[in-house]
Amino acid sequence: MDFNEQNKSRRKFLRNLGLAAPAVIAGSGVILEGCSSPEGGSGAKVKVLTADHKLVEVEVAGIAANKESADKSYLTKRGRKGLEGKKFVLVVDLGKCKNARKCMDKCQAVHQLRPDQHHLNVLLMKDSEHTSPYFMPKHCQHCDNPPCVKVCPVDATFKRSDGIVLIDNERCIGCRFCIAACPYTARSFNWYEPIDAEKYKDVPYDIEKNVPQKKGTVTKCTFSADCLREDKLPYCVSACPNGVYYFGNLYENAVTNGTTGETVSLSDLLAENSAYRLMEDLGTAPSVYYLPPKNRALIPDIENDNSKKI
Amino acid sequence: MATLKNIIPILMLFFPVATYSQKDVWTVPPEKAAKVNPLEIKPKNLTVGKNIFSRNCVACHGAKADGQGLIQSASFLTDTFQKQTDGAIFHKMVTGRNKMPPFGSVLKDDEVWSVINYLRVLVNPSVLPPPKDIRIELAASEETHSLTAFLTTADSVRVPLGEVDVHYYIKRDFGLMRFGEISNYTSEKGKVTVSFPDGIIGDDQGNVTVLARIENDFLYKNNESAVVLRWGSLLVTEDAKFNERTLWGSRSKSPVWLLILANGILAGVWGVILYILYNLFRIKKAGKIFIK
Repeated sequence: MDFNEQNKSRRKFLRNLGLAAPAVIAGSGVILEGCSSPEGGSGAKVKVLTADHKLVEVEVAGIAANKESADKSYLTKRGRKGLEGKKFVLVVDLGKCKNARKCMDKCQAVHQLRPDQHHLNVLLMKDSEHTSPYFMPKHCQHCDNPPCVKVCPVDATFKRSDGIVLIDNERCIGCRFCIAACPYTARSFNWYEPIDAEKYKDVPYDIEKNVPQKKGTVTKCTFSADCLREDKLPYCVSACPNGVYYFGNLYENAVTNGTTGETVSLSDLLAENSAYRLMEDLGTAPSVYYLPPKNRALIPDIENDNSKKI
Repeated sequence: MATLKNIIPILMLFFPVATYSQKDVWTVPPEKAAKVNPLEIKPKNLTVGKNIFSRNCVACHGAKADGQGLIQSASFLTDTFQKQTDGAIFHKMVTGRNKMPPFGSVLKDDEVWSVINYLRVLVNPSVLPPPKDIRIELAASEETHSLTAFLTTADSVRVPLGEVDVHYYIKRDFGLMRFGEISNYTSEKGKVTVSFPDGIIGDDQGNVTVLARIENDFLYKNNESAVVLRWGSLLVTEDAKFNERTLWGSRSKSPVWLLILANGILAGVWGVILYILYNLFRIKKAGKIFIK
C-alpha cells in the first residue's frame, strides 16, 4: 500500500543511483582529462614571461585568460573611502633637493602624463633680488580645507578621511573650476588626447592611480594612493636619490625618508628644522610641510645656468 | 716668430699639468704608509666602521663602495685601492684632497682605523669566520619601561655574546623608527638594556611592536626579535572632525545653511512659476464663465 509504494520508489532511486554513479565518475574523468591536456596536446608551444620574470614554454592550447584580472570594477569603487587610522603627511627637505627630477620622471611615467603636465613639479625659486635661489618640489598640498573640492559642481573631486584629495575622471565634466580655485596650481588639464591613449583604451579606470588619463578631464597628484594601500611609499618619495622626501602617518607621528629608509619622529623633525607650510594665511591647512633650504649641498646658479632649465 | 716661440713653452706648460691632474696620483710619504693598524678586526670595530662609512662615505662613494655615489669617486673594491697599506689609506682619509674632505678633524684615530678594517672586510669577507647563528631574547620590564635584549649563541650551550651592537626599533607604517643610543653594546653577560621613549603612539589599543636587531652581517647572521607591548598612547583619529558638515564635504555632508539656501532658491523660483501657471489657469477659467 502506501508504505510499499514508498519502499518501491526508494529502491528504484537506489538502483538508479547505482547506475548513475559510474557514469558520473567516467564523465568527470573525461572532463578532467580535457583540462589537463586539451586537444590531446597539439605540440605548438609558445614562450611566455611569467610575473616573476621567468621565461617558460607553455602549450598554446593551455593558455587561458587570467580570471583575476577580469573584474576591475573594484578599482573605481575602492578609492572613495580613506584608509582607516591614517592621515598622510609629506615633508620636503628643501636643503637636500638638487633638481635631480627623478621624482617627476617617475610620477609622469606612472600617471601617464605628457611632459608638460605635472602632478609634481620642481620649481626654481628666487624670492627676491638678494636672496639665494633654491629648488622646490611642489605637489598637491592635500589641504584639510581644500578650496578645489568646495567648487566642484559634480562631486568629482573629493577628500578622503586619510587626508588625500582625489579626482574621479569618470565624474569630471572638465569645467576646470578646481584649477581656478587651487592657490598652489597643483592641477593640470588634459587638453589633448593623453599619451598612449590607444594603448590604454581598454584598461579600466583606476581612481587611486588616476589612470588612464582622459581627454577633457582634470588630473592631479594622488599621493600615490594605490601604493599607500599596500603600505608602500609613494612613487616620487621612493624615486628620490637625494633624501628630500619624508612621508608618513600624522596620527603615528612618524615619517620615513624615501631614500635612506630612516624613520624619524614627525614632530621632532618639524620642530628642529622650523618647518613651514605654503600660504598658511589662506587657511587651506596643507598636508605638505617644507623644511627651509639650509645647509645645502648645491646652490643653483641662475646667472651661469649650471642647473637644468625649468 | 717670436710670439710663437713664447707661446709654445706656455702651451707645453699646460699640457703636462692637464694630463697629470687627470691621471691623479696621490702619493703618500713612506713613513706615513708604514704606519701599522693597531686595531684587530673585531665585531665591535667593524660595526663602528660600518656606521661611520654609512654616515660619511656612502654619499660620494656609493652604498656598495664602488665609487658610484652622487659624484664619481674612488672605488674601494679595486686592486689599486686594496693593495695600499693601511697606513696609506689612513693618511688619505685624514688629510683629504680635492673633493675628498679631510676627516682628521671629524673622526678619532681609532674610528678611522675601524673604517679601514671595514673596507678590508668588504672586499675579502673570508678573513672572518662564517657568520654564526645567534639567538636574541627580548624582555620588557613594566616598572622601568625598559627593554633588555639577551644575546646568546644559537646552540644548546647558549654562550652569552658580549660587545655586540643591538639596534632597537619601533615599527611604524612605512619603516622602523630607531630608539636608544647610537650604539648599544651588550655586556659580558650578553645583555643590553634601553629605556622605551615617551610619547610613542600605538594602535587604537596602544599596542606597539618593538624590534631588537643585530646589524652586523659579518660575524652574525642578521637576526631579530620582536615583541608587542601596550606602552604606546592610543591612536587618536580626527574622523569626527572629518565627518563634520563642511563646504568641501561630499553631498551628504554639506552644511545645513547651504542646503536651506540652495533648496530655498529652487523652491522660490519654482513656486513663482507654479503660482503664475495657477493664476493663468484661473484667469482662463474665469474667462470661460464670463463668456457664458
